[in-house]
Amino acid sequence: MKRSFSERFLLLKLFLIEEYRRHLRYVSPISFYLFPLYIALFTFLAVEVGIGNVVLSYGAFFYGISVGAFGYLGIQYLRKRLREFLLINLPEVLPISYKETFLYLYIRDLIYYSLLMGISVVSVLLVFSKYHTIILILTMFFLGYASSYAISIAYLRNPLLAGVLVIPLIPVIVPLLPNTIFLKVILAIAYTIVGFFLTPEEIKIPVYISHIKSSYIGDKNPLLKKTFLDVWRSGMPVKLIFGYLLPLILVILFSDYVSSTLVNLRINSVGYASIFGFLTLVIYSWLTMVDDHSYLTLLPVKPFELIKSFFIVYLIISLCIIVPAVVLISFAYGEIHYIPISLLIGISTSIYGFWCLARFTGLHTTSMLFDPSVMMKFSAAVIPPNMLVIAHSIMIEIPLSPYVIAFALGIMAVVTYLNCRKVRKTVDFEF
Amino acid sequence: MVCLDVKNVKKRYGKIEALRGVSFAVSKGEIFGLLGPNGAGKTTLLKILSGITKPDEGSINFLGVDVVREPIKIRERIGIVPEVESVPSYLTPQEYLDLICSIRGKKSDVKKYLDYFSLPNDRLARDLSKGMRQKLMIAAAVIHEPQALLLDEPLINLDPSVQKDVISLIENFAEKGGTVILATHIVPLAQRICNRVAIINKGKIARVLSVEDVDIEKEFFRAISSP
Repeated sequence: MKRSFSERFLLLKLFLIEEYRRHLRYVSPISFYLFPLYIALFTFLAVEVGIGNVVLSYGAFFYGISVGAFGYLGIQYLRKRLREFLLINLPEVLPISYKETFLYLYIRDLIYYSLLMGISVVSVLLVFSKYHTIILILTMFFLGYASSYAISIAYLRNPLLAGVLVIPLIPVIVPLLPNTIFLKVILAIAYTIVGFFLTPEEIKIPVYISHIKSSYIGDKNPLLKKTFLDVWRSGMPVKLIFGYLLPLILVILFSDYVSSTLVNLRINSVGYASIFGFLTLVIYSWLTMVDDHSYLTLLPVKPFELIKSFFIVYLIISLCIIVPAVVLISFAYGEIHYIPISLLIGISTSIYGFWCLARFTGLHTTSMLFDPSVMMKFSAAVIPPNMLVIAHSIMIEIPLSPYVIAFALGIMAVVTYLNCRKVRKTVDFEF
Repeated sequence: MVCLDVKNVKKRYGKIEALRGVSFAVSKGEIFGLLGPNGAGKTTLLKILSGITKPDEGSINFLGVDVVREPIKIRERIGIVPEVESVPSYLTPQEYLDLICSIRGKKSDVKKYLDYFSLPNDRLARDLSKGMRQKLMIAAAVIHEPQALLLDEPLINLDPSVQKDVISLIENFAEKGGTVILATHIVPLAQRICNRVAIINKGKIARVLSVEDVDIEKEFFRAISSP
């Protein structure tokens, strides 16, 4: 169906308004307007410390990746929708295709999220007259956004196709090819075109899937068994490969590149172990989103019971990732003697992060982290001890470092206990 | 014998006064209706009675439990059918009912309830029709044989034959001494199954009526049209 320019403009405007109002529903208006200030402060510090180019451009890239994943998340939402009717659902009732709806979503998020972060970052960089950095950051955001959209849409058609689409990104990010802005823009446009063509006209919302055999829930740890069933049936193992392991490999390649060329500081296996531990936090966020837990408000059960079962599943998945990753990288770097301490650090930082997230974001991690007050508390709790551990892991051969690491891990253990106790006392599922 | 005693309950969401000093009492074995137009405050009141939401003011004694102080304890004794769907996506009906029994620490004949509500056992809840999911929610609310039921528009999405089954289930439950609080905006339903009805409008109880004595429909429109 043909639409006039003003009709298209109106639709886009409504998509933008909807996103803004949804965003405001999660955070208070004050928090919403404080968020750019928080970003501005971070930008200022990064520039002052002299790592603005690297941190901000790669930060913008990963931010773009997280925003652009709506290609996957949007369709997941359509398939799972039980309560809300959003503009993304318009094709269910009006003569508009999903392809067109997703195009509006694409433009909406590109505008909305580049403004949300961009204004504050660009303002600070203008003060420092860092014009090249501004262009680099905007380009990296665009590249991250467009590639994430295309890859996530491709993933829904065929995971292998998504894997193929990751390949052109690697030499640009690491970077093995000449690091030009022009190349990145071309690649981002190419990803946009691919993403648009891969977006289906119709999205079939399955009514009935293949029949399934009921599992035995039993009397012991029912929520734990349910969490395992959720993880398995929602396809999280596949999501882990594409949403976690592949980015993890990219992070290793990227940090290896940065540490060996830009800052001339080699990250050893112990340093990587602490990074692995920190990165497992994304699994907690996935666990909170895998299902709607509102049914538990009807039962005599506290949120702690659910979070405890999340913790066990999280720990098992984390161990399955951290242990082989640490062992492999220790062998690769010829640092087998560091394996025990690397495992201790990786697992400790992972557990510490879990209970910080549970304490500050409860069962609404993704939306709560958009609240600057929550974000600040979480950052204050997580960044200093992790930075201390990562920095001294890299310098582990200095005699003082093992003591500093032991001190930081001790602090983390105490705070973990306090966080766990706080979560245990909570009654309200909306905490 | 009074089993629910609500005194001066107030609840505010920002500038909106959802409940403005609600008081009433319900006896054991009674089917008590909360009848009101959309947005009257019925769902908020049910959430407060079940301890899901805390009131800003007021007290609730339900089955001997101070609901404000012990929200978890009251949920051990009651069954709730909420207005919005709340069924885990990745469990089959049998698994969900097993989970409910396990969390509540009660042994129950799950198969009996699956048969009663004609629930399939070989599909995930997310792949069930809306009506099936509603039936599953009702089964989950009654499977532990609670002392009271809080029902928020329980017949929504159900076909007429299942509606009939659910109505007889509610009536049997009350006959055996169970108490039912039923929030609805469907006047004929309230007239048919309730013993008494509180007409709630703009966060206040306008009137409490005995169903046998009056024409509820007439009273309902009179109550909601008065300022």
